[in-house]
Amino acid sequence: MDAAPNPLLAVDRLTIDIGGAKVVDDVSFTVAPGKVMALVGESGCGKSLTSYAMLGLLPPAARRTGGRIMLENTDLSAMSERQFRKARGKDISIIFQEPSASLDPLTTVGAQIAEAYRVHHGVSKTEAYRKARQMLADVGIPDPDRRLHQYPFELSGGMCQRIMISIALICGPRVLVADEPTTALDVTIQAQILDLMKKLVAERGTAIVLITHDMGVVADIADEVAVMYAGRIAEIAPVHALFREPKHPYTALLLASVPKLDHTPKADLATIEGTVPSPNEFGLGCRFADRCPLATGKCRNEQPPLFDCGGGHRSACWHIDRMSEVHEVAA
Amino acid sequence: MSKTKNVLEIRDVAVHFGGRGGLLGKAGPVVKAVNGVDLDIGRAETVALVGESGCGKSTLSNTIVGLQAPVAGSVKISGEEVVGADRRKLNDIRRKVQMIFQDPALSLDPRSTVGATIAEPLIVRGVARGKQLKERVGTLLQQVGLRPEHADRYPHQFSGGQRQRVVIARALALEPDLVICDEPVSALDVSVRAQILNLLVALQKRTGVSYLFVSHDLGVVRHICDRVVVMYLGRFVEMADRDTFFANPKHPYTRALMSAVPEADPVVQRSKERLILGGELPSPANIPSGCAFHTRCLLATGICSRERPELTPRADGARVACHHA
Repeated sequence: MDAAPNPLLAVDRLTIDIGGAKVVDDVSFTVAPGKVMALVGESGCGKSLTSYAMLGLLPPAARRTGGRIMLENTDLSAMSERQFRKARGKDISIIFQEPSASLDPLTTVGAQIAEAYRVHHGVSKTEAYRKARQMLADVGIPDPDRRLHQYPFELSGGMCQRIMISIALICGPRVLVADEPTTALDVTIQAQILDLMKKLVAERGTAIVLITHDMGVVADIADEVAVMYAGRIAEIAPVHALFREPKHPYTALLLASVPKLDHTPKADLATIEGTVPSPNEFGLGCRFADRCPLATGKCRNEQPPLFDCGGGHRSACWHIDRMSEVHEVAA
Repeated sequence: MSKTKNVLEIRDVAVHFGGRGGLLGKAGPVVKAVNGVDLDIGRAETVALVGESGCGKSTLSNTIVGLQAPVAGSVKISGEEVVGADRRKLNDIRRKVQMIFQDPALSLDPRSTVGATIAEPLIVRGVARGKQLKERVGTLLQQVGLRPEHADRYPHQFSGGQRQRVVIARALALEPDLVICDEPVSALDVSVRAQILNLLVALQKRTGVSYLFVSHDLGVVRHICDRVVVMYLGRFVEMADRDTFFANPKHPYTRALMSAVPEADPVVQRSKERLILGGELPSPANIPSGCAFHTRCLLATGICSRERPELTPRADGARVACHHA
């Protein structure tokens, strides 16, 4: 394995509060250039809020109450909206799940890509369009000269997502946040977009923070994975280690609940009983305790820290030594 | 009663849209959403219908329940013809076939208690009333893993997975022969999906209901289905038993689909054969000549753009529509 290069992006003890509840609680991770960090979790786990905080896009009700987000030596979390406007698109960009909802329906896609470039570089329209055309070719859109002058409704979902990626990358940001970028797409198109993202990461050294709930997508593209549960990181590990030997009961059960090729058809799949607690139900201890097969009194009363298991593998569980019991439940 | 064993028999069904009454009386383009398909589903059998958006799987589902009239062909549910049936007959047939959709939040009336929602088909059909009705609703709730006292709650008081359970209870209220499940777990969180899949399997074992399972998630399909049908631009391109299908997929489109679905295992996923399809699904208003897939196919030759391949049986029992597979 390569030695880990210096991190480009460092999220350090990030805490976000909505109405008195810590919906993101003490979240830390780093991403190196050219690497893909996947934030995985179910709805409400705080993965999207964490990523929005990186771009100063938190909804009005949410407030950062602790921690920092460093992009090399710049503290993103201390930026004013004015400063953020300069950084967004140039240093850090985002693409969303539904490309057709993110594009302006009344403007040609060429104008939308060129605008992103002109805002940061102040070049002529002709020059910006030339850049936009090049970008369309880079993201694999056939016949870019014609496409530049089309409107979003004339393009398919997969094409629109390529346009979004063009807008996000035209200024060469060092970090790309991808929030469920392929969830709304068909699988053959998803495969095209994932391959495109891999290619861009390799060629440009862009660091990607990928938000997803799809373990297949994680297995395909991630270098490192942070599994989030109810606002906290449950487990963080290099991708192979996480799938081979999960060290948090939540991760293990999550992986076991996905039907795999060697699973006997129609035999019961492992399930996680109960539901994710809502923020007003967060107790003192581990937030997974009520659904966990390993839970003891200690789990309900004391919050487990992230224990270091070696090799960059960390897990927030009091009972890592009893993980074999979970694997039995899951099998 | 009919003697047939199949709960569903579809013969040569075609559904087209448009083509008439366009602007200034000119004929508009004809969208051939479904174009001559045959399908049987036996009792307690689960058949998966796999394909991408625009392939015609929703149109076919709607045709089966009689919400969409085909331009040709026959659809029989437990031996009774849906096509051309009058209103009363159609009403009768419809109790034998039910649907479950992707997003349970959109399938439930937010202002009805779930008890009222589940009771409605029973009242409409005059199956039960009064105390008996209440008991029946309670039993149905228990069957799907909820409690009878949940009947008084509203949909917003439930989680997504619980709401899908309510939808399933309603679908089962009239003891249908066939349930069409249109991506029933796609909108649910991963940990909840397994619960719903386990429930669907258990209910089939108990009641003998058959499922037509529309999905693009091949992991789920392999887990829950007995047979698989792949659809591309309105036609079936491959049909096979589950084990044959997954052991030896034949149509180039099927193989591309399989290679595109990411496996939840980085070792397997990163070493598997990659067949990334170029291009996109052509418009169903302008289906390519010959084999509709030839514009994106890695094996295509001259014959593929001239002659449409029929579904033909292969040695292992699979049926494939391809000149070269």
